[in-house]
Amino acid sequence: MLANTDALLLALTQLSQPITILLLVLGIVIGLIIGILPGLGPPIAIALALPFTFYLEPVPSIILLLGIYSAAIYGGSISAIAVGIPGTGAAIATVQDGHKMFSAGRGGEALGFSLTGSIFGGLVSVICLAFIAPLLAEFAVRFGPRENLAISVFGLMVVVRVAGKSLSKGLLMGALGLFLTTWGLDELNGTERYTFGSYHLYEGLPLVPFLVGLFAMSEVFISAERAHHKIQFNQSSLRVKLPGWQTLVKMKDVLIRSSLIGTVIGIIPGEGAAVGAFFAYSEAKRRSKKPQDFGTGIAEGIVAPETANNATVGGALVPTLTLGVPGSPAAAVLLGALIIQGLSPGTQLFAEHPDLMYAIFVGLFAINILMIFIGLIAIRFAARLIMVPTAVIVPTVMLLSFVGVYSVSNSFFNVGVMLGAGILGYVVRKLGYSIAPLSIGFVLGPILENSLRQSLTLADGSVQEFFNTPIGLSIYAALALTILWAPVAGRFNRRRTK
Amino acid sequence: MKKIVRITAAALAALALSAGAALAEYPEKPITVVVSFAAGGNADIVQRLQAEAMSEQLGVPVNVINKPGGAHIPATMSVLEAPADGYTIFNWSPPSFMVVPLTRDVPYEPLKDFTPLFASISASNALYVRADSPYTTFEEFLEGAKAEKLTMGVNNLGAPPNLSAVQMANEFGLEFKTIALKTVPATMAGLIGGQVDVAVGQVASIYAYKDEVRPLIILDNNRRAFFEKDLPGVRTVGEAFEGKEAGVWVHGGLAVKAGTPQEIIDKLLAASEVLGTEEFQAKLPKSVGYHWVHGPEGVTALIQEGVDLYSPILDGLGLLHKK
Repeated sequence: MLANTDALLLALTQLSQPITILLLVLGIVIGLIIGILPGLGPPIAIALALPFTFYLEPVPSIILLLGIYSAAIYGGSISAIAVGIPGTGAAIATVQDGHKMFSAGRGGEALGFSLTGSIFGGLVSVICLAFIAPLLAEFAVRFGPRENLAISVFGLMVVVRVAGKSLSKGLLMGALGLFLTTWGLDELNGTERYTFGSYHLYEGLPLVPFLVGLFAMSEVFISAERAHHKIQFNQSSLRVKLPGWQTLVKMKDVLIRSSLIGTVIGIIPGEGAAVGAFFAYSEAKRRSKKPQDFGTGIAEGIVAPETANNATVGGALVPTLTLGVPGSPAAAVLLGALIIQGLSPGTQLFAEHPDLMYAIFVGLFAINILMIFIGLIAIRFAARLIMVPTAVIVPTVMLLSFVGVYSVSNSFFNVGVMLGAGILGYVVRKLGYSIAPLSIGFVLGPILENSLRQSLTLADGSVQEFFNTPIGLSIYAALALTILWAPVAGRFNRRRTK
Repeated sequence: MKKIVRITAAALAALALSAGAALAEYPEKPITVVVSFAAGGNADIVQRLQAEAMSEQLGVPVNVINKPGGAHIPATMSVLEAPADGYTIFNWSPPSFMVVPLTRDVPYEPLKDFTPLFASISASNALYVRADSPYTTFEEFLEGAKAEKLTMGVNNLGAPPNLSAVQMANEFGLEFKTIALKTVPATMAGLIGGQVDVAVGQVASIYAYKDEVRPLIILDNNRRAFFEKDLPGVRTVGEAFEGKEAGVWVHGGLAVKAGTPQEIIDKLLAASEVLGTEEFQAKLPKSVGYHWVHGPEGVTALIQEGVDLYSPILDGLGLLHKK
């Protein structure tokens, strides 16, 4: 596939235009800022920039949007670590360890870990996209209802097990998240479920306002209670520190595994960066020799989700570019940008526009490299956020969340949902439950319901047909293994030591 | 007393003058177009291109804002809640003006509460199988579908591709296991990936999946201008089977709130004239179908056609909302 040198040269010429380079830098800066702000995530960031691409050629416009996409996913981790509020859904899994490390006076270090992980994951996924995209498209196209069902069940079980401290509490919260996604019109027969007579609820509780409320608002409420709480820090915690080579080598397993997890989850349409990050976090915890340390502010707890969520960018582009099916909500807006340029994203795009494809691969690579430098500048400021009193941060975050959530669909109803979810999150946390499994239930719920009901239609009453899916069966087997492995191995070890 | 009369008269005259002046000055501030879809889809893209062209004609910015969610009702209502002054315009589409009002109890009536200006974006549906499918013609497919219950992929239940599939099943006496795969591209990907045996996509879907899928027939009665551009040589149901019905109604355009002054409507109609030109249409993505109907009467008749077409099909599915 990389044999077409003419197209590659054409792509490089287009990329080296001053306007393209300028837009690349601009995209990263805009993306970072929007990613940091709670409520504004990658989809809205790309949508805001979309009208400007009308006046641009295909390559500069797609480079601008890819810069925004990558940087917004990374930017979410900065607020997750520095304020304890994920700037985007992608950074939900980073809060636990990231903010703990920050509060323990190791802020600069934590921000350095998240930047390194993000860049690594981004680069690995670009390499996958560039070299094996057609192969990955094969994989993506195999993911039908039965496979989606299997991966959603897997995700829900595995993530719920690790996201909270107690298994039963985690399951309960996961179930509550699932329940809340049943609100709205039934997509198959149009029945109104928990709409309370309001058409605003016909499409269910909106995702972004719900997540912002759950995380940002509840955090605001909780920190409002302890406004005089002071974090101990010294000058060294302000200094941004990138992990050294030895630390990276020590973490190579986590880095590589999380990159691959992120890429694969990104490929599967419907599962976005948040799910990828949680998968990687739970896998790192499961494989760790000291799983009890996760959640206390350790490096792996930051690196795993941050690597994975940026790896979903390259992954999500696989079905977007090769099938015309967006791999994530942000990729859906990106797809629109390609259509505006007169392109038809689908199985023909590679063959018809090889130069554009090369420009995307090389451009994404350059974006990830440049993000190191722009990211370093950003986190230098972020590390200093620790000096800002809570009394300033709380109202600022509150205001930004209101603006962000309103702007997603220009609706006050969504602001109400955010406040409601904030109160829910506050109560849940006060009662000693964790909101992470609740959010994962909420994210996976619609996919779970749709794929289950589609699978039932496909099976037409036959159990055998329902499980007639080699990919799905291997996912179920992996799930059984993850759940049963620890008790079985424990028993085996005990017997041996006797 | 005389003085009061004189003052009143003067005031009235001034009022009339200022009102006249206000109308003459329309538009004097930016105009907002409400799109009920999220940014980035075909409807949104075409609307943004149209807004740009109309903005040049009107001399004020025409801003597009997206209000997705709530089965398109919040976006629709937001236009009706704004004054009928031509500064808030609605981008109507099959869900907001057809499917949702036909299937749900909604707080508006499209043709009563709105004055449509034009219809522009359009689409028609076609039946596709995989490129390596044993069915090379629609007739072979008919035999296959009668022999076993095939799996049919559509985007959403109740949406035009699904209604086309239902109408075809009714007309030809077929039965399918129907799977809703959410979007048209996802439906086509599901077809390529073997999740479904046959799928209803749009005529223009062919551009993205040329070598992977095979069109069997266009699910429409009459030939329309863009068929030959998108699917050359493919027959429509109306052409191939006399007496069999196949209709599809996918249109979208702009409408203002009913009660908007005629002068403003006339200005908007004049400014939108450019959207019907060849030059403008050449700027659109090739995957967009365009069927130009200009003026309230023509569009009202077009919308009524859709109601007449879809009401019985939705009724057959048990989805029609009876008032």
